[in-house]
Amino acid sequence: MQPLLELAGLDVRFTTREGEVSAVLAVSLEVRPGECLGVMGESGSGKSQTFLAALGLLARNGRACGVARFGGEDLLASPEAMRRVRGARIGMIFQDPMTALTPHLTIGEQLCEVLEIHRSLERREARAQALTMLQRVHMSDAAARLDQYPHELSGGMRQRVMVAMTLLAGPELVIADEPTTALDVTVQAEILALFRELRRVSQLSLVVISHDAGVIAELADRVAVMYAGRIVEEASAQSIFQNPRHPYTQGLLAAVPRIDDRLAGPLATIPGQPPVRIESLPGCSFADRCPRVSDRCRTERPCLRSDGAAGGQFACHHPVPVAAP
Amino acid sequence: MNSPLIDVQRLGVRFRTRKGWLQALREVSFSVNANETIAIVGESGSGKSTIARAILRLLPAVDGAVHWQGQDLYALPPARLRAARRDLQIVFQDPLASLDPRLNVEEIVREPLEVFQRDLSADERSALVARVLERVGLNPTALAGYPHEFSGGQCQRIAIARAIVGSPKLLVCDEPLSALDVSIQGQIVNLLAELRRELGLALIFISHNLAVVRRIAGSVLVLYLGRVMEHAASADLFATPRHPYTRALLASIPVPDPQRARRDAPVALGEPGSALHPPPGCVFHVRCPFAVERCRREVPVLESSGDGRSVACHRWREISAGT
Repeated sequence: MQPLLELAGLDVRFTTREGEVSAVLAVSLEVRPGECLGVMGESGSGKSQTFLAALGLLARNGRACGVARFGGEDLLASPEAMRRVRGARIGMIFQDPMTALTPHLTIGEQLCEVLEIHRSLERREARAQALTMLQRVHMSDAAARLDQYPHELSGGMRQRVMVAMTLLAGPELVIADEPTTALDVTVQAEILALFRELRRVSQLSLVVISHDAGVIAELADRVAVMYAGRIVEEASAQSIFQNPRHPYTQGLLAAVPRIDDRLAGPLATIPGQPPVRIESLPGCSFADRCPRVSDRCRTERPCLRSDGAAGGQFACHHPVPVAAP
Repeated sequence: MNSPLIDVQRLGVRFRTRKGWLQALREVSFSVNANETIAIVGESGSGKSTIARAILRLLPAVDGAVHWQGQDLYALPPARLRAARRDLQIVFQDPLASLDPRLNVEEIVREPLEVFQRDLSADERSALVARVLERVGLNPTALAGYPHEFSGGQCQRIAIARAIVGSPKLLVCDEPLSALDVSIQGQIVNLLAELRRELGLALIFISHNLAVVRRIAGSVLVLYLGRVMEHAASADLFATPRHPYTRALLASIPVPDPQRARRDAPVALGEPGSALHPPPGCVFHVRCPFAVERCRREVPVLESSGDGRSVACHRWREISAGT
């Protein structure tokens, strides 16, 4: 099947006072129609910058090289294609809905604007559709919300507005960057349920970027794990959570305390911390923190290689063995 | 019998806002002994950070009483308050913001000694600072560094070193992990647990992360809109939550297991209420799947059930019997 979005050899660099700093290195991945790809990583892993770069939304001091192909066109090579696709065919949802909404426009005005720009609707028709969409994302008192301002809504309601606004343009792909991180856990559960429902009902293709393994597990069909600017493992959600092959994935999942485990005593940890300058490392960027490290890891960078039958790939010289079935 | 280190009785805190009075806390009671860890959990607006400020006497006045080693904290004369402050320390959520950017690490960690332990010589202070920094897992080379040169996890270690350098009796940790990456959180939790054991500290751990709380706390206080919903030993609370809010909170936590995650039906609670306009009756009734007429009218008191647990719910017995 033709991928919906395909990134190939994507590099992202920023020019700072301390010189050139890399944020993303040689990232290649694809999003297939109808699937939910989870992108999991910690802060500084490059997970957000990868997709901001693909959509031409890097900060002014950032540069992206590589290919971001959507609908047969390379968005990074064609500013015109980027303008046509962004917001219309690829929608985005960010972590903080308050900063993504315009404070001095009502919810209704902001939703209608989307329809007027992307779908050329008249104001009256737009308002009717905006209301329908608010109801579809289960906004309470939807009609009354149209005339309210963002600051009058709670964080969860604002995120529902963001979802509605994104969907109004009728995108084929939605990229959600930490969509529930700013929300309380009970509200997060409701927004995650909403995403699941939208995928079931409208076969929406989705990229969910998160540091939270629980959020990824709730939504993703396939997972890419990023560390120090690179993809270190990519596989079905099932394989990632049940039999991670990269020691970083294994360590990260072990470090998440689970509400359903029966463990006591100290938490599992990954010693040390992620590297600061990612481009200067000769070998594997996880080597210093890795329990499976050998001399080879410090000199030779492992390439992503297929894990065979399971259909995933990982970048490690000494992968975690396949668990017995 | 020893009196508790800190004893909070019917604590109430109000703030005056432009929109009127905001009752941040109402009728909160609990106590902590040396060597104990109590967790205070709740969502934003529940008042959990206000408890931290009340216990440290960072508020001008409160309703109810906070007793520190048997003395009314809010009635202490300045000299005695100063002595108490040495024993009451805090670690904040944002490690970088809580460290003075113009001081190096040695100065930051030595400052409490200069305020509270002037009898120590300069050499003794330096030796103590070096020992504490090593204990929290920082290299001696860190001494000359400035906060911005360190990662979030390292800054949190510096903040912990500053908090424990004067050998306090109580350490309040207000969301100490929220700004940290998952792979670093465990390091800090484990360090806090070790320090509590070694130093015989009482620890008040304020967090919204129940999975972490389960691993560190002996008992848990669940707050909602400024009121205590449930108070129980950690093992009991997580095994058999009694308050509908505690149940909802536990059910909402995503589990990193794709097979399990999708089986569970989503929780539908609706929007959280506002502390500015708390609902009448039980503050949770608006979101509670078990609410009946009585819950809309009558505030449930925090009732002790005789087994060391207490719950503020009219219907907890029925609900527990039904599951």
